[in-house]
Amino acid sequence: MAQWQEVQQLEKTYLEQVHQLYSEDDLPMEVRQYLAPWLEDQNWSRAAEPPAAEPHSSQARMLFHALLALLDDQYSRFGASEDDFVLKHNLRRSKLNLQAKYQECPEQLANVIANLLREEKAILSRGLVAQQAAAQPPSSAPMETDRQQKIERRLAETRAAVQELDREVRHLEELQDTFDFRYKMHRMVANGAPPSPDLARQTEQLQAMLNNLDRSRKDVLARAQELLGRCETLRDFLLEELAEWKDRQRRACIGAACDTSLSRLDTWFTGAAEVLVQLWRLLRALGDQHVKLTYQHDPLTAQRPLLESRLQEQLSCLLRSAFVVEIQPIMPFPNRRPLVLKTGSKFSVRARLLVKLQDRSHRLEVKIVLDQHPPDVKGFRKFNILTSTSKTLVQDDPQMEGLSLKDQRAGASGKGSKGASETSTLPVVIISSNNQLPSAWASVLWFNMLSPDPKNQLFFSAPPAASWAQLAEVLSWQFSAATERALDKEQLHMLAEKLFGPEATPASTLTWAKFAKDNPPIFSFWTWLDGILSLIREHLAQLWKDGHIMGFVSRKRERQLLKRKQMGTFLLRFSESSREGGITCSWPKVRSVEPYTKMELTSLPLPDIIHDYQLPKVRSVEPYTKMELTSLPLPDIIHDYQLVAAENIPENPLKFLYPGTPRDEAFGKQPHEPWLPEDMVVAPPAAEGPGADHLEALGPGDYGLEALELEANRLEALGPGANHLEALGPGANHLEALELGANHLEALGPGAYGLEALELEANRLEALEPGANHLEALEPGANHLEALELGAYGLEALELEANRLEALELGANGLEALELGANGLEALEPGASTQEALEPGANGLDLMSFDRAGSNVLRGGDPYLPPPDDTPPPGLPAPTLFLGANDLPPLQVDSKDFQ
Amino acid sequence: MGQGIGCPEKSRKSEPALNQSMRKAEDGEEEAVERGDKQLRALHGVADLNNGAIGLYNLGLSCCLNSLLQVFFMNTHFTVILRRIRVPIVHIEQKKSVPYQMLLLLEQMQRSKQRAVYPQELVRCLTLHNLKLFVQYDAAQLFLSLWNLIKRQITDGQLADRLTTLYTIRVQEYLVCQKCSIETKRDSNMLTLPLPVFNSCSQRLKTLEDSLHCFFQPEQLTDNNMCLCEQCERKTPCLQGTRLTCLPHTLTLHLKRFYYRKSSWTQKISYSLPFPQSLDFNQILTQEQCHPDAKEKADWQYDLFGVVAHSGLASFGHYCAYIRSLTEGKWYCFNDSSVCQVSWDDVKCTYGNSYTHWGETAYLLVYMRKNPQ
Repeated sequence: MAQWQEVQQLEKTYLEQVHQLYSEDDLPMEVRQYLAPWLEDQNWSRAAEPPAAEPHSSQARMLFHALLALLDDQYSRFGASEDDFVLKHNLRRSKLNLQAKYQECPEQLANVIANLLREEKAILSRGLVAQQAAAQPPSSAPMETDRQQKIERRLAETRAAVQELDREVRHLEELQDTFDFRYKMHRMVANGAPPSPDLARQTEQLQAMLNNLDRSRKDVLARAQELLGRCETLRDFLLEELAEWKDRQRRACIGAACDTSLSRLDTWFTGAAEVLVQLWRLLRALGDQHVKLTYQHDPLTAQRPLLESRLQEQLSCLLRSAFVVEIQPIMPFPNRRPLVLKTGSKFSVRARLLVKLQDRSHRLEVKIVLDQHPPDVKGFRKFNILTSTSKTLVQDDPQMEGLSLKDQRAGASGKGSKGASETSTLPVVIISSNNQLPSAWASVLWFNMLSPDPKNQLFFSAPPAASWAQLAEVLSWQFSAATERALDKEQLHMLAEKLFGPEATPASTLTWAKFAKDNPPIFSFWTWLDGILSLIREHLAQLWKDGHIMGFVSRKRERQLLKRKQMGTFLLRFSESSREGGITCSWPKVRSVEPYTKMELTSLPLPDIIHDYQLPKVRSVEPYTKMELTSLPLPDIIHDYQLVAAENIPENPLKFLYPGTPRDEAFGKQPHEPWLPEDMVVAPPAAEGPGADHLEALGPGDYGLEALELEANRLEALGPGANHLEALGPGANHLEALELGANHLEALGPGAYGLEALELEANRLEALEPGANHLEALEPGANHLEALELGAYGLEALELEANRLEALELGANGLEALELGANGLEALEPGASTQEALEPGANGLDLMSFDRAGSNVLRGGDPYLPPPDDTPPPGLPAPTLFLGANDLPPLQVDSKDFQ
Repeated sequence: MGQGIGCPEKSRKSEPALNQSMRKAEDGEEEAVERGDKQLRALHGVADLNNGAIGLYNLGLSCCLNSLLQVFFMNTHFTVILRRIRVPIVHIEQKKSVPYQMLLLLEQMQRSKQRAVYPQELVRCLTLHNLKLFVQYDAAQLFLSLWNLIKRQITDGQLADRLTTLYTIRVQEYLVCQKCSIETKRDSNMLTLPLPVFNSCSQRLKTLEDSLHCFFQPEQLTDNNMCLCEQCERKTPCLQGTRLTCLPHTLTLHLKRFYYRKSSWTQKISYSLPFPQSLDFNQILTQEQCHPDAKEKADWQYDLFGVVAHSGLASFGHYCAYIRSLTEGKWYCFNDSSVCQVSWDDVKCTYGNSYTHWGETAYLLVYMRKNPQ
């Protein structure tokens, strides 16, 4: 924009300064207004200071007359309308004033104008600085780095400088033409004429003119040198900025959220190239002048070639680096993972020349080459591009699309070339089948995370190890790229512990083999994580994004987290054993104890009891995988728990999402009908059966402490540690704290790794646990506690002794824990007479009805009402529950039941 | 330009030994003078820039001379000396006196209303001393010739000594016979430290500090390079090295970017060699690389003051100078008649790089002592 226009757009305070500037009548403002472009285009300062060698410079006079002529011209352009009348008058008066004032000393006018322009510039820059300062605070969103500001500033400076230089070159041309003309005239006159003082004076004048010309040439050359020096700094800035962009692009390729927009770089590169091209034109113009007129020790002879070489080198360096791969090779599907190409599939790559050349007459053609310099490695395979490999680079669409590949494997780097410049994409991995995608992507991750040289094709011949600090960041990107939510500190911590054990530090390193090499049947860390990633992407995106899935949490940590939470709190975590990615929910097991009476409390105060009452058990469900989630989304599954449980169990264990978000708030209201007919099998697809996962058998009393009924001088406390019970000997009275399972009812849930224990007290009704497909019937021995323990995958043969049931571990006053393993499914068939065959699926309903009919314990009445003492539940006569070991057929596990 | 830098072994010898016997005047009288100088210097320090930085017209391949002159003129410690010279009485003597002509030029620059002045009188004077116009000079060589001319023509002995103290580096060269362990020592003075860009194994040196370190690294002389040991009375393998004795106030370093290969022309190395804005020799040099009697080691702290940069090829190029004004602390770039204020980034741009051959690369580095006490 012209200076005068910019000045007029200044703010009021600065405009005031401008008015002040023109308040003296040295140069009327209307003259400034009408002749703005011309005035700004003349070299007034030079005209104002005639060089010493040439005291009577005609320059100022020439400009003065040109100015008057232009004013006349402007005057004549006004029409006859009334508005113009006053303007015409003013302009005429100004002209006459100027004429009168500066006729004798045009240098003075030149001086005045030069000063005015300089002052304007100063006001302008002050104004702009103030404007920027004012505009900065609100619009600080696009944070400019120091270097970006420097680039902008320098670009503006060099533009101004090259404009200035342009003026000087034109001025030089005028000087030269004048000299040329006068010199020729002089020669014509001097030829043959006798030497005279007049002629000598002319020669002297000519010499002075030539000296002036020489000086101007030197000035211009020095300026050009200077400008080139500044452009070099600008170029260095641009290259640094470009290198940063490339780094951002590299990171963006592997999932980081980086700004990879090229628009600013584009503007800058184009700007810098324009300056250089204009400078190049000026040098050419100087070359032409040199051809027309040269003399001994002409500075143009010596310095111009040097400048041209320097300039050309700079320009080509700029253009070479301006050719970049804007979009790395990518296939249109299946997921947005660039740099993995499949043979026979189409992919696209986009190259771009950051310099928008104004000359559109030359076609730019892009050629793509695969593996221009294949490494000398055994087994390195070459590929060909099937479609055409070249394309004309069009300004708006420099994209190569629909390229497809012919052959297979190993890193390949595609190269494009434009004239002399070429650029490389990042290395790509070529696969032939979709199931190679995860491992191909692992290679891309590892390479771009660790290779400092994007062209290193031998990287994987000895892949370096990654530090956890690097890896953690990259892993987190995988999640943020797929779901907009990165891994948090806790989640990363769990992964670190999984990889490196408890002593994990940011400096711990992981080898490539450990990261991604599958070693069946053990699958690698990456295979596991990628399975989870695709599970999230396909089925859990929203839940993950909302942060409802804690996901990566170790079992130990899980227990710690849930321990202090209110009952009904649950969390979602990813299975660590599922290859294709699985998710499970965990919640602390419901427990209750019998009421403490005075007697117990005298021997052990309640706080102590509560203090000892620890180590919650955490239950989990069988991990849901892709297969289940395809048919029913996770939020629905979580609601379905309530459905079935509501049938006869008062509470759903999944009430609050850790740390305390009500379920419905986190997962939304149940989208389905709240009630399903009983006979309809509500089968949340993940579970083995409705019972297993959905029913928590609760003793009388949901979340409270259950009172323990104690025999007069026999208190027993049963404290199961993780898998065992500890007897506490609280002195004479044998107080024992019952730690597990309130009132002898235990929930048996085949949680992923859950352990179940059943505790019984003598002569008591024992709990019937409608666990999924199995039933634990516990027969109280006289003073015995028994537990049944079922191991994972295992089948338990239950031995029956006299009137009781014994499990593998049976002590005198022993107790047995019934344990169910992850996939364990127990069907206990307690003999024909009991009619208690519990089978998966529909039988679960039977069980429930049985429960209803059975003891009031399960009826969910008064939670604090102890069950009747000697009444075995109808239909479950203890002595006949199990007839003998032989009567127990091996538990049958049918894989169908798992579905 | 570009001649006579030679291979690393020779280059050290090509540095002329300056006046070998220099003593530091330390008597009280001198101190008084020094104090007076300080006031004067402060005065001139301001005065020297009150006209802004002024360019010098190129009189025909005189960019090298112009750059060096600017480095001299912007150095207030030098101009203080220059202003005190005795003006020759006879006109012809005046014409021939380099320091006097320099003083005149300095005055002219400060009086000038133009952006640049012609140094033709000085150039004419130099021509009389065999420094011809229209010849491409090597900046390091020209600096040496110019400095020697100035020093020789300063008639006031005390002033000449001050000039010497201001610029000369004192080192001790030693040669240790590996057979009998006898050490031969020789004190010498240098005007510039010619710093290698490659180490003895022809590997690129990464920074100026490395280069300095390499310069003071002792070298094993074996085989053909063995020296005659006086005690052993035969040629023996020996260890040759340099110890630093004294660093001047104005320290000039010279990067040996031009090298001469047999049967080939002089070539320029444009690799990057970064240099810092401040140097602390106590951190760069080890105890063995300093002379045990070295004094004022605490003062071995320097700030970059000027860079004479060369662009183009060895046989064909252009010089310009980046100088930090001692009064304002701002950097200026002097490109003959064009002078402009620049930033440190522009100076950094002269580190050099390996992908361009025509760009500006630093050739002479002038460091100034941090605390001028």
